[in-house]
Amino acid sequence: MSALFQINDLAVSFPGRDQTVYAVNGLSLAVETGEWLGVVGESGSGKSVSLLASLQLLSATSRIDRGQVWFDGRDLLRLKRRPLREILGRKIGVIFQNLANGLDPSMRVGVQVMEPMLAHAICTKPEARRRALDLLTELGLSDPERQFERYPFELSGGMRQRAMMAVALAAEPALLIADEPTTALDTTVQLQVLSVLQEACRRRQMTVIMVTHDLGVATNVCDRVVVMYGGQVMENAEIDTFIQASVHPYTQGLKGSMIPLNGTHAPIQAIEGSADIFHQVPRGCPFVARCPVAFERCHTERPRLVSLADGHEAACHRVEEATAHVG
Amino acid sequence: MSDNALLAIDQVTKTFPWGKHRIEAVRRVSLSIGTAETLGLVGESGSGKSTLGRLAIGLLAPDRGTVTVSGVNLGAVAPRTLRTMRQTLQIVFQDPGAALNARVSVAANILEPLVVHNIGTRDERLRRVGRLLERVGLTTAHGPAMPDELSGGQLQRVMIARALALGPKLLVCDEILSALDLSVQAQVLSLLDDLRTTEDLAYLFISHNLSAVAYLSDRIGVMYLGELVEWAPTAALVAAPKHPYTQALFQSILEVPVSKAARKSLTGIPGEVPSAIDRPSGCAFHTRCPLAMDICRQEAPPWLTVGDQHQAACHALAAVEEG
Repeated sequence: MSALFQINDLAVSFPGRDQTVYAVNGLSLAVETGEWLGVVGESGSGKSVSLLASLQLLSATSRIDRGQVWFDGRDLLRLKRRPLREILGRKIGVIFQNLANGLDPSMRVGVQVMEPMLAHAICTKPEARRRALDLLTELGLSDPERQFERYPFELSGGMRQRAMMAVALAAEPALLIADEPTTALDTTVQLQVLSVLQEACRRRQMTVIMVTHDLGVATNVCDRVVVMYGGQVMENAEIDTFIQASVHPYTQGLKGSMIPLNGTHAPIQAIEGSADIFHQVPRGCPFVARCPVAFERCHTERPRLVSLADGHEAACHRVEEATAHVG
Repeated sequence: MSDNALLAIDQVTKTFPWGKHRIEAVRRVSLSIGTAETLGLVGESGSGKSTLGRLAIGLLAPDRGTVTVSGVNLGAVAPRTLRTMRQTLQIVFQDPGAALNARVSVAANILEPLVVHNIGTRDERLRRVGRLLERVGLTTAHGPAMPDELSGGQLQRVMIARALALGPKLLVCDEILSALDLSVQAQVLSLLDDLRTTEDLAYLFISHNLSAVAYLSDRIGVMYLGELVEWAPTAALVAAPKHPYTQALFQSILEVPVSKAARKSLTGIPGEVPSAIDRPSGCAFHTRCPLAMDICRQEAPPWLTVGDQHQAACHALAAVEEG
């Protein structure tokens, strides 16, 4: 296995005064060098929480119950603050969904793009300035010299998101983790931002993990998709398999919930209910309450992630039984 | 514009103060909605679609132009009449958490408009709340619950039940799907679809989500920087959008491709919606338009009929038409 970044059996919970929320319940996933991996699921599926937890970026109200996160031969969850800092921003770049969280409102944009290069002693200050300007130009900020001197609030949403990407890419990290990088943007701007992000990452041969709830975005930019529910992997497939031959009832439900844009008015086959919040670690399949094909076993026994074909896995008792009969 | 329209908006302009100046949030917009008809309004941030939604039900008053409901000009009626008319005009907003009273039960929230308008006895109101809850896909068991015990999708259903309490003729839906998950969006959209027939409702359905607008609407208006740029029956717009901005909107929708090889390239129009403070001259879209010509920078584009009930405001289209 040549996984660049690998999460093993991660469990994360949020202990509360009355009850605990179990957000991630034994998640395992890996991304290969050079791959663009999409992590999809509804809100509450644990997709953002698990990736933030894997970088020790969650708040103190969370608790990592078990698991390892392997990167560069080390378990990131066991690292102390200083060695972790040498990796974050340097070898792993992060882009957040929330425009407000990613940039410091009190610092000029250019200084923020220079910061990772200076903090990690990659180059001199004049060199960092030159590289920052190049990066802003590459990411499509019009009039980069002027944007360089501005504060984040003076930029439009699309420009701010590009600036945040510049900060994430400044130290030329090997891995980029992008959490809903274009969700808050207008659709015409989303297309531009995705396009420059894709170009920039390709040019650097970067590995990317992109969290998104948008199947249109995932299927148009990713090589592989991991579908999450209840803090576990439901299905893991190469993009063509995901599009043409996905098997998990949750994946099917997500696809069926998409509103078609063809002027027809066929009923939408939406999944019933909304994403569950777990106050106990789910005993069986986390999706059981909403699954149209659930049976007894799904309530009592957690489905294993079973390999169906090369690079295609699903965690579903129905699927497992169907393939067992065939085999 | 037909005389028997439920809602008729005629040449409406709305400005807001901005420092020493005023900015035009909505600019010379005309549209109409018939009984039980759904008109969709689509556009990006700053297009003025939410302001237009508030103008449509009299929550905002226009600076110029008229808003007429069932033949009555909202700007010319007594406050008392306006209050009565508001029973037929309701709005549901994006964030149900902010629009509901968090300190009282779901049932009390739905009851409130009935109490305010002094409709029915206490028993009648309670029975009505029960029916409304069932009508929107909840149960009477949800009545005693507090808003923070419900999911986002359930809260949006409560908002719809509250809006239906007074038996409106027109429901303005302002980005009501935006905060919801995909599966819940589809559920709420199906609910709106049902209610339209059972309640004889007309909708002004405002959203940046073109797919949702196209799914629900009979006709669609496309807005850009406070102005309508194109309007058409849904099927015609989806089949052949004419305005370069509408075309760009359609191009920017990422649908699931049939395969990795069949992906479309991620190219679209450049730039972002300009600020209304600094509105471009001529056609407001000329700064981003791939077809922009000199005249587009100087003169407002004419409205052209490009199909059956299909109109677009564009100099480039006009040039093609003149050959």
